[in-house]
Amino acid sequence: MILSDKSAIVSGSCSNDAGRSTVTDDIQQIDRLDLAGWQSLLDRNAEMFHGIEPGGRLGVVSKDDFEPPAATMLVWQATREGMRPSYEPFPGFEQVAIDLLFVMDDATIRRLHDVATPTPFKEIKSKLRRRDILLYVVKPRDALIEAGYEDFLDSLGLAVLGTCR
Amino acid sequence: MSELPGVTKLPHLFESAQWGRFHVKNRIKYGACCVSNYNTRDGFITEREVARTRVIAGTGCGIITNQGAYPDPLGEGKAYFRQVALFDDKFLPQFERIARFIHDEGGIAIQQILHAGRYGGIDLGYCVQPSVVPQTLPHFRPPRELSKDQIRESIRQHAEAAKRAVKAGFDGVELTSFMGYLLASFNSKFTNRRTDEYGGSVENRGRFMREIIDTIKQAIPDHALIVRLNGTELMDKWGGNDEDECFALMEQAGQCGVDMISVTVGWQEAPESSIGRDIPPGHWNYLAARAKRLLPDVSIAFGVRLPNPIMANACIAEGEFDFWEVCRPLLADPELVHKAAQDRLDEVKRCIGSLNCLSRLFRDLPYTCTMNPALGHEVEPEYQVEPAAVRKKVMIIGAGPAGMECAITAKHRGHDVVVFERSDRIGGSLIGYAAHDLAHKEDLASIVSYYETMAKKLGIEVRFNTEVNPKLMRSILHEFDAAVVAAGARADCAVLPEPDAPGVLVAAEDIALGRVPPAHKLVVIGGGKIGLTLAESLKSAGHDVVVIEGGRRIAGDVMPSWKWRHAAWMEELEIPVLTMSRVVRIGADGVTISNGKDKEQHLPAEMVIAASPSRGNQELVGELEWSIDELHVCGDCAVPRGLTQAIHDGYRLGCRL
Repeated sequence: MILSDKSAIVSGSCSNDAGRSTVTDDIQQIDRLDLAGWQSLLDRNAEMFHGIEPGGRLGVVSKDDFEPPAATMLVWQATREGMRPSYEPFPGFEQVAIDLLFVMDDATIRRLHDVATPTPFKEIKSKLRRRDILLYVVKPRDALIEAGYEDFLDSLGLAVLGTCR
Repeated sequence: MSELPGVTKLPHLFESAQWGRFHVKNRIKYGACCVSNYNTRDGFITEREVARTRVIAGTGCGIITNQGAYPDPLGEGKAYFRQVALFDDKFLPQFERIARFIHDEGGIAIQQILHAGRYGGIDLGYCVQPSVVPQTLPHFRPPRELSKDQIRESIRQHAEAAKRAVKAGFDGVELTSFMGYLLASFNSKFTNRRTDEYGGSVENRGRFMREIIDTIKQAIPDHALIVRLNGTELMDKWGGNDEDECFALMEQAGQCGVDMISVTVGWQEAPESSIGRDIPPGHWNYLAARAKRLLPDVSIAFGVRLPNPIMANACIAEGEFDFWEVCRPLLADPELVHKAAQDRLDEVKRCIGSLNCLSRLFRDLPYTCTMNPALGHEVEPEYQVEPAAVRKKVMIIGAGPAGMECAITAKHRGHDVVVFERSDRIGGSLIGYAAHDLAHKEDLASIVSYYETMAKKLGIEVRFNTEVNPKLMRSILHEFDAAVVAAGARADCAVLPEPDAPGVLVAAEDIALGRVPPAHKLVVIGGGKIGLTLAESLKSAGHDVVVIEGGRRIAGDVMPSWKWRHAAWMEELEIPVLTMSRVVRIGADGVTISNGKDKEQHLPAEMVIAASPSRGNQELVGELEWSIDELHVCGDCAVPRGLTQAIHDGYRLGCRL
């Protein structure tokens, strides 16, 4: 999996969290995707996250490995200054402090990170529809609406009010 | 039914069967495919529900399954706002009435026990599962893991509910181990990540189901037990069970001695259709056939996307399954079985797979049916087709769905009905849109066939190629007591900029009905259902198409359960969509649009199709106002809302004329 990146963790927003760094030190690293690249993605697509209240947190984990405690999770957190990326250990579904969790393969993660990908969120939407990306809705619907996720989910083609096929 | 002509044509379907100790009059099982949402918030059956189930009891099915009741007092198993409950004897009086209705009609009465598990807990804010695996659809609640004590308690509650159903007079019960409900979530690798004896291997994952089966069989040893099980979950891409594992679980149920297995398809969160009209009828039959081969001594029921009794008869003849399980087609037409027995299948209102029923359920509304406006209103006199107190001569202007529905209903009530249609056939704009439907053209086209058949059989006069106008009205003055204007709607080109060149702007209905041949390079204005249907069809036929939409999203007027389908088609066909776009200029060279930031863009096109907004063809209303005693407007002519509302409007008006 490509989310584990020791240097990124150390230089990212987790670097002040000593306990967290200790955990992530043990993570096997396969690839390196810098936080600056993620910040660029978030800045280029700031409109997508417009309604999300500060404190909102979206996670991304690799489909190839999201078994706790070794797996790393990319976090996009809403702040008053916009979205900020960081890396954290993925603690598993029961403990994860996140609102929405994307699970995608490494190639997709790389494409999202690549500045040359023209419409990354259009790709996410398309892959979500085909279930090439899975989105776990960790928080209840009402909490998501309260936290301003309605437009974000709608943009990704997900019916907040619910439907099935 | 043995003397009836249809019975000899469908002998296998109408053959009686000995099922355990029960004699079943035919091979048709009414499946409790949906919860109606007609009941009280605390689980009591209402008179509305009782009236509906009385109709269901009269459908002529050999086995009738009453809709799923949740078995636990806390409501962790409750999936829908108005789902019925069976955790206490206080609920029994209404169940007793329903069992009696079914027996009075010669049916075997089965009560479904529906603990929704992953999709439950609607009043609680959480759901229960074997493991904490979050939802993939925002509609549902966050999960909590069941402890072993809770598992044991749930088994007891299921058995108590089964005993209660039998006490109410039912002949057996049905367990729901499919769709992602509680038992299915234990069966599936996707949601079961336990490390105890209830998780891990297929054997362990099936343990909960086997223990429930065993406990219920001990609780009601002389009564039938049916289990609904997935033949495929459609969740294997993300770690769910593959088909082999589904069938291994089916085998476990069979070995536990269940009396029938009902084979189903898909989970609610599966990425593809299972019952929509984009799935060809018969697509999933192979799953039933596999189940029958695997368990030749267990009765197999099946009906997923199998709406046709002729096909069902052939499947039974081939030994693919034993009972045709049918629900939605009987919601669309409760007379289906009787019409089949009488060889009147051309009079059947077919389920068109619009998914109106599911769309409403998942918006926490009572379900209704596009094709059957009376569904859910059986208790209301206003929806009954009763003889008219005063027999009237009624003119209906427009032979589209609203007009024909009104004409047929009014004719049934004894009115003398004449339909005036300016074209040369019945169906209105629906003919055009059915022809362009990418899903399954025959479904929408069946509505037109139904109206043609009924007009002929009921002797409704249809005056084709007849334009109603003041001059005609003067010539027939005082011949009619009532007029119904059901003239449909058309694209409102007047709200668009005047085209610079003649002929470049064409209304969607003119393209749909073939009045105007489409150019190669097209811009479609409007990303609603009309615009999308045309764009998809034309692109499939090789045209170069761009869709522009004023709103933020396309498919705004599409059924919630069908929006994804259009979005997927648009993407697969690579049709560009420009949202938040306003038309600035229409010319011979194309369209100039302005986006949300007032930035202009030119889209080259040889023809521009106006698909929205629509406006009703109401010009006649004013002109007829003083020409006739009663004047009514219905369907898209009143407010353009689409097929479901047109059919319902026409029916309701026909009931009260």
